[in-house]
Amino acid sequence: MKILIVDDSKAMRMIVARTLKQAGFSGHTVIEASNGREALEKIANESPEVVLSDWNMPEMKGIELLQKVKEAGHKVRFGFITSESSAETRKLALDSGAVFLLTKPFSAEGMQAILEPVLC
Amino acid sequence: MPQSAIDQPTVDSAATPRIAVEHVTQMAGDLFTAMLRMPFQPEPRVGECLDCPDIQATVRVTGQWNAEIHVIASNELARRIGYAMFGTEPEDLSDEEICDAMGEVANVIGGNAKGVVDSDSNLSLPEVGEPNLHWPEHALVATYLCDDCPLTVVTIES
Repeated sequence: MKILIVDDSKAMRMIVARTLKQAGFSGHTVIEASNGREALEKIANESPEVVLSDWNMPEMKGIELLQKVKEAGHKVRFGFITSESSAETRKLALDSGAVFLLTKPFSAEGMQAILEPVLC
Repeated sequence: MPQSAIDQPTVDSAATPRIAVEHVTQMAGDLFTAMLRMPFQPEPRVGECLDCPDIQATVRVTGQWNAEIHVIASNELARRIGYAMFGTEPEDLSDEEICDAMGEVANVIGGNAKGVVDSDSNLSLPEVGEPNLHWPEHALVATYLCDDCPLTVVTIES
């Protein structure tokens, strides 16, 4: 399975990729994008099955990225990994079509529990 | 290391605080222990800032709830945080990577604080610069030991 990690922070992209391995998801191909525009290009050109996106990014917020993905008709499973943990954020994410929201900070165990239904 | 100081805090009026030191301790503890796997002592020195800070990361929350959250560290601790995030030896980290790492610390704590209050508010992107240690009296200042280095978290609500 191909997984696209979208985050403007290189540090956080590395943490997400490393924690995926620690959580037992090491058999997947991980690709990265540092903003929404780059993410849309990679979704169109590299066809990832899953997108793990930050919420709060410059230029295009994660929720806008999700809306553009839906508008374009991509069937990718889309979830958020974000420090924004309010009920309002979670509702907006799920109502917009996200399949999960994992809150930062996360542990390998927490990621495993959230992503197992998506990646297995 | 950062070249410019972060703007003077714009929030200077006291309000009924929504974030307590216990929240800050929980948020910072979860970040450093669960995600970064760094030693963290959850007994803060409240009202104290570390003596010789080098770097500050700031996020702002605006909307129904307004606050600034500052995370202040020494260069040594900032490099150790960078190591925990990037896996690169501390001495090999670039200034950009250190700023990125500190910004994420502020982003996670600020985002979690916004979640605690659960209001219709917006979280800014992190800014990283030189510390500005002038806060209003009602600021919540808590200093922790993280990997044997002091780390100060300042929460200023309005």
